[in-house]
Amino acid sequence: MGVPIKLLFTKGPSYFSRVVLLVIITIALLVVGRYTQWLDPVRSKLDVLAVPFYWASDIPERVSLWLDDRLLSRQEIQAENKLLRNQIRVQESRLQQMASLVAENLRLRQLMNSSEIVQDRVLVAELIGVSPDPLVHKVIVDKGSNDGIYVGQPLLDAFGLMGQVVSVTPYTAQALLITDNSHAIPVQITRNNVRTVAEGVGDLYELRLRYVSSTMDIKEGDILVSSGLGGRFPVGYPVAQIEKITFDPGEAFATVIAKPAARLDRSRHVLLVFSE
Amino acid sequence: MVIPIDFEWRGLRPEFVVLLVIYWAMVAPQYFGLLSAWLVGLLHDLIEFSPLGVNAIGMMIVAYLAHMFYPRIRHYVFWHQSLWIFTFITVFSIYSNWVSGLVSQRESDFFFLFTALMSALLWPVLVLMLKSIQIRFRLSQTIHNNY
Repeated sequence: MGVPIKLLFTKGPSYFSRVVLLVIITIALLVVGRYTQWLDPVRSKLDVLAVPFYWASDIPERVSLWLDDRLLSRQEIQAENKLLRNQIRVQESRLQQMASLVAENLRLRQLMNSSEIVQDRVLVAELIGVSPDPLVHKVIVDKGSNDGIYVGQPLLDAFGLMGQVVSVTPYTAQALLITDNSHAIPVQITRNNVRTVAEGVGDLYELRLRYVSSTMDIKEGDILVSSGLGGRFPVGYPVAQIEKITFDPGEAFATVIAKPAARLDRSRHVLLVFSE
Repeated sequence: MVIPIDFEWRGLRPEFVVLLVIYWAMVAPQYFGLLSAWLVGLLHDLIEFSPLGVNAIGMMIVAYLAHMFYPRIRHYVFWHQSLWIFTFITVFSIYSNWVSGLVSQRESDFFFLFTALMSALLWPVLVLMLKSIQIRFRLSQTIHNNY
């Protein structure tokens, strides 16, 4: 060991005892964090410390978006305007159908004495950070408890369900994506209402279905929507589409791979749904 | 370290913070000790959403190695230093992967070798940059200059 370190030996504990002490503290932290919930409140307070880093790393993205906004030519704006007008026309015509369908659905539900589906209130948020670890699928959004965000709130993009909020600070919130390998979501197939559970495996483009028996009525191309069981996610939001089914006679269950409907790796604007 | 990278390229992200820890541990060992490295690791855990302590233990080990070997390494040319850095980062990744595998079920793969390679390639650039900052702001007078 070099000379400067020797300086430390003149005061305080020795170098080696520091190593041992820090290792013991770390192991204690890891064990407590793994087997108890004691660290959770501390952690959610400390999460505020991470926010400035994500905020700063998002600056180039925001600058480029701002420049994109400012440096549009007249033609481009007009072309975009035209496109959007067309889109609105198409969607309005669909909405007209939708109104009659909603009315019909409501009548049928009343006939069946089941509760009505209430229109959910949503809040638009923007992603300001993505977890740098490829095996942790978490994102940070720019709305927090000051905007009424709460833990367990579902997160959507324009194409489907993205995940749920797992930790809230006053100005930001962390959301776990459905593809994280600690996440599972109850789903049903739109074609026949068969219920299953879709689990993340740590790959952004893949979900797996748990406990699919070889006799289950499931086909490639089936659309999976949230079933609302478990009470965490609202009913009927698209989650994934079945991509591949492998029945292996030697296995008890089939391997079913589905592709998430939401664009988990490229959506910047997300919706937070208030279920109440 | 949290700069967004395309999902396909994430395995190539260099361990920038570990490189900084190694640099500081070699330039100013009397100011940047094990506790500082440990605290940096803890902050890194918070930012990366990993269980508290995973990166802390790795950073501490790397700082320990840097303290142990810096009298030898600082005389080497850059590419030779980079070899050492490759080894340090590999040790760091193996440790933190192992520890995070113990506390949360996750699969690990050979990504860490690419990470170590990218970090080793980044090392000369980083050293030149930080040294020029050190000279520009005359930090070498305040920090004991042994690098």
